[in-house]
Amino acid sequence: MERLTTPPDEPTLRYPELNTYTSFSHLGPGTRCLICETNNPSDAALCGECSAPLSIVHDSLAQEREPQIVSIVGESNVGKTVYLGVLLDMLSQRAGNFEAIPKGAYSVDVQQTVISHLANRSFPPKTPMEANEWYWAYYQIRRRRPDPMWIDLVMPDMAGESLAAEVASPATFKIIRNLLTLSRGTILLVDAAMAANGSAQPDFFALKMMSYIDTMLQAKRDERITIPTAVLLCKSDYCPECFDDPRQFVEANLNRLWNMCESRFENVEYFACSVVGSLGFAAGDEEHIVPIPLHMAPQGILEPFEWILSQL
Amino acid sequence: MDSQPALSVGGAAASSRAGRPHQQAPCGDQTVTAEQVIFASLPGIMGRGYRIVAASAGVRAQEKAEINRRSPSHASMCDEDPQSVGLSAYPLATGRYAVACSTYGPVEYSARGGRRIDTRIALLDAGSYRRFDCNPLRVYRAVADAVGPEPITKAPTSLPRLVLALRSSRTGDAVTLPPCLDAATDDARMAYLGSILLAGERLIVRHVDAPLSLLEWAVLSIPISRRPGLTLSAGLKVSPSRPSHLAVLSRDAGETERAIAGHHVRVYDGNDPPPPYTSPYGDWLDLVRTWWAAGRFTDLTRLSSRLDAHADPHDLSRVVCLVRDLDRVRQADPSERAAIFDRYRGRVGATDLETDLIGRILAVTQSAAGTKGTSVREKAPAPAS
Repeated sequence: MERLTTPPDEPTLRYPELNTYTSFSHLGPGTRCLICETNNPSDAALCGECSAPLSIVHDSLAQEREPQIVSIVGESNVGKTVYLGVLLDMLSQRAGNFEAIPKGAYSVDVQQTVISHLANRSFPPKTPMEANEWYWAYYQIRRRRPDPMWIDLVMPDMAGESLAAEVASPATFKIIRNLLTLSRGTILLVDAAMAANGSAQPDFFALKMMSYIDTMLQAKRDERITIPTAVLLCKSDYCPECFDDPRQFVEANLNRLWNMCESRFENVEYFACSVVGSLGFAAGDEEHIVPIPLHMAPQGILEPFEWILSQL
Repeated sequence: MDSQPALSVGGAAASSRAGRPHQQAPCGDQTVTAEQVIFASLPGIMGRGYRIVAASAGVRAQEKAEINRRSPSHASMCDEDPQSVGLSAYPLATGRYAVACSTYGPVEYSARGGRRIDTRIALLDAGSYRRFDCNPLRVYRAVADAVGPEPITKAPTSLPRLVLALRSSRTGDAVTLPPCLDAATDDARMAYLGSILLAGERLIVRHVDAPLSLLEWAVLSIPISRRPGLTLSAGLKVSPSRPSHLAVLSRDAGETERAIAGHHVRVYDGNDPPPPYTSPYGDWLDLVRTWWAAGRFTDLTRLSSRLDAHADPHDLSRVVCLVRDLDRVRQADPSERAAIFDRYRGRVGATDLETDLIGRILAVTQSAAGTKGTSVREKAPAPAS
């Protein structure tokens, strides 16, 4: 019997792989992402590969100098957003003889969000895992005395869960790997209150984080990582002894982290900080406990940042 | 609001329905076994925050990484209504397919505003997904039947594989249009969505009342051969970390534009008429429009679900021609009917579907003409597809 037509021999049509938005690197000059160096269309707002804001690139070109990245890392709910927001707000108000100028209105978002929520006696919303939802701060900073020198800093506010997922399975969130690789300094936030209560969870997360950085930078066995790393004990208002001797507190209560730092990191310093002066608790509608920051009493916010800057 | 069955991501490992112990149904022709993963923000012994809190034994590390990257976290649903449902479906690098259903849970554990988003992901191999007609909404309904409505309260210590029943709105059953879609006005919109999906381009449709229903019908309007490679989402905010061929949003507060600016992703407001388009699949899309406007949804879904060997425009045009001739022959006068009979007498199709359609055309002509002594057995008039 006659066939209506010859059977189709061509393979089933397949869609191109849909990992991220289409790379336009083959199209020639566009906007090269500062974080992953992917070429993007000139009118793109976010990098198609890593979701970093391309406005950073445009702003850095205007300054004619490469910005330096300082990464703030820590577990979920440790206080990264609050710390970064309060820090930037203090710098904007010339605390500690610093002069800080935000580059782009987007750089003010995190401090506005944090200060506004704290003024309203609530904590800022949880940072989503999606990188396009992260806050990015690009500031020009200098200390006015003794040697004024401008430094451009980029400080992303990464989600703790994204950090945990990347540490557990490297390359899950490539933007994190790229950011940490490019970082000139790292501030590791650790929940001092939980550690003081005997929980090992902060210690394990910090150990994993430092181990990840160690592996990623691939230092040889007899060499140590030289990237300045500030270990910042957060929520130290719960355990004031942190302020007296942060180093001793870490050695006693976060011993795994302590040993890792002593063994593999050349340039580590320990600090304690607190943002909330007093905390109240309320019962919500669904029988959950809502912490309420009653007032702000920042302590130890600038010191780790000052130290990092002095090491750059 | 989508009129989909209530689904909670929860359902502890030991029970799939309230008050009844879990009973592992025998895996047979009417069931499909799937791996499952729960992604949520639950405080636990090993950690806290959004992460994979439980997974069945057969989930691979590579799949977990991809699920971590794609699953929605805090404030990622379009709608703040606690009853909202989000859905995403995507192929995994391992060759399996993930269908993820997201619902709101209780308040997020750190009480920093907003509800927790719980996501249950079913992982199916290619054959199992095909048994659901590569329709993620069918998988979603089967998962809802399997796990029940109980919310998750804590991370289960172990998670069994899902046993999914195929009986949930089987393709071939009579299909009715959900109230949110209109046969009279949505024909052009369905054809437009089909043109985008067939072209492999990316489209965001926003301001849609029932995103899940629209997504399902967009999928059913294209041949099944073109469905497996699609990445789809409904009810979830757009994010570069979960790119989709088709994303349907109920609301858009403006963040979508920033996420896609400059990246050649089309945006279509569901309240507006669809923009004009050109497509090499014009014949197929014309058929979709015609049948949609005529209310022939059952015929459309049956036909599209049989097109598993038709991928390119030429193949589809051939099938469309046969289908139109089958419709025509039923109402044709004797001379036209004879002409159609002569056109197809002694021929077979390139595929089983085409051969079947030819057989029906010949059967109808013979039945109408009362022709005797032919080599094709007489058949009773059958539905168009």
